Amino acid sequence: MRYKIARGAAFPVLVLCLWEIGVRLGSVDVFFLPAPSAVGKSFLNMLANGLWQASLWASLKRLLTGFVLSALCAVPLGILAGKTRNVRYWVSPTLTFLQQIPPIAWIPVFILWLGIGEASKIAVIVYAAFFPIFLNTVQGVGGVDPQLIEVGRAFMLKPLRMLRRVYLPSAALAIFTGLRLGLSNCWRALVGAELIAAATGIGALINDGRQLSQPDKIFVAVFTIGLAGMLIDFSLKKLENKLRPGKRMYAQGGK
Amino acid sequence: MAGEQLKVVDASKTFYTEWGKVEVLRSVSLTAARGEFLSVVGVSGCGKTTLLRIIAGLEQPSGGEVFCNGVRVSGPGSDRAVVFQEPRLFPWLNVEQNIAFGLKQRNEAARRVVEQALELVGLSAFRQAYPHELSGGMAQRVAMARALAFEPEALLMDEPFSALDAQTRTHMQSELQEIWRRTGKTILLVTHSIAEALLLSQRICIMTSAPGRFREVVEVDLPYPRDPDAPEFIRLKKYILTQLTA
Ligand SMILES: Nc1ncnc2c1ncn2[C@@H]1O[C@H](COP(=O)(O)OP(=O)(O)O)[C@@H](O)[C@H]1O
Ligand SMILES: [Mg+2]
Repeated sequence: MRYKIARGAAFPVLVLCLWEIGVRLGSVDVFFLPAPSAVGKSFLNMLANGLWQASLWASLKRLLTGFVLSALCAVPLGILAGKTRNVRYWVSPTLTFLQQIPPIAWIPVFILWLGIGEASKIAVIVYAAFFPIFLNTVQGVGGVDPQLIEVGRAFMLKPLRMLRRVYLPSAALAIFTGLRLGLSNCWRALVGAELIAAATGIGALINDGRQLSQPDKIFVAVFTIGLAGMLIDFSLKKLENKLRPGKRMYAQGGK
Repeated sequence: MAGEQLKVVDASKTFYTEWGKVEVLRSVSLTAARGEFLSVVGVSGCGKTTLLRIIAGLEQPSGGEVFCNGVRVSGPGSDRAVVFQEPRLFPWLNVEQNIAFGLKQRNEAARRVVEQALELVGLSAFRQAYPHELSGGMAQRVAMARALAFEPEALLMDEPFSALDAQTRTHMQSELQEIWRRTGKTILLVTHSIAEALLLSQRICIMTSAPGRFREVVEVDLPYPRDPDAPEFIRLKKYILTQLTA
């Protein structure tokens, strides 16, 4: 584990070193590329005056609100669509069309409809998370072993019990994968939305840095985005792997 | 007749597929008395599974009717339970939970029912095991226990031992006979194995294929447990074989 981390970190560390040396030797203009040490100093500053925490918290709050809203729509709709082939036939072309449009492209539209406030940003996140969650749920629910569904029928399960006892456990892993992908998607879209229109958040930090000509601030924000995204994905993958022994079990179930 | 548990009257089934229609069953009729062990034998593909599914209410017949206890069958019911050809256990549930699958309540009575079913199939020691930890025979026993715990009047079994090795199969057959003796359930067993039918059942319906029809019903008037080497057993076996392939 420790070796893995060291191996993964080797390249970034090397780049940072070369970068620092380059700046010190004066071969790069610090206005375009501040030294890593300057970025670090800026980070400590922002940490001291609370700007960094406030920005991150503002972004995370939006992320969670939007993500939860999205999951609350996408999972039930996915279950519905996964269970009924007809729904799938009716909506799948539309979904494929919508899926092609990156969330960022909707930002101006959302601002037009919902104003410049929180709502338009939340809408972008809801949109960004929706498709991965929905599509994975559809796939998970649509892929439930028909033989098991038939057992449910033979034992006279009512629709709700059928859902709880057959469909959901079968589809749990697929739904979880959808949630994980949705969350990564959200994170990327969120920063984009904040970049265009927000007074707070990590994206706004980048905007501030640009307007105030503080490239170090921009870099702090960019690194924060990458690292936070990594952390989110990493923890969800961990959780998913916890479910995965079950997956092996599912595959061989009752031979 | 009051003693009739299952009654199939002129059941027929035609499937309509992309390639055309397939007549699988033609005018099949049978009656199983309460507590009877009845088998249906026929070669693979003759429509045994289809017939069983119709009786289970999982499939609608194209013509004819099915009665259970004098009531017309229109779908699955609590008076019948199916043991499928595959165990069809829920991989995320352990043995105990799988057996309790068909139970509506999780009370003391349900616990007792599960306990009894576990004991009946001899899996009390494996109650916490998951399906992937079970052998084929054990998995099929769990499937039997699940059906028994449902407390049906009739047990419908679709070649439940066909995927097992010969030794396990023999073992499970005598277990099934013991379960039948102890519970007094009506059992309808569908199988391609003449020996299995002869070993277990009181009457055997001989089914021929394309389309599936009943040729004859053979009474097996031999005492249990049956000896597959007994002359009468061998005679019946030969007779049924000629009837099947005729
Ligand atoms: N849903 C279905 N659609 C079309 N044909 C079917 C369907 N179910 C069964 N059949 C056909 O019916 C015939 C009998 O099948 P089945 O009842 O499974 O036979 P058995 O259990 O005796 O082997 C087979 O030829 C099979 O292809
Ligand atoms: Mg069959």
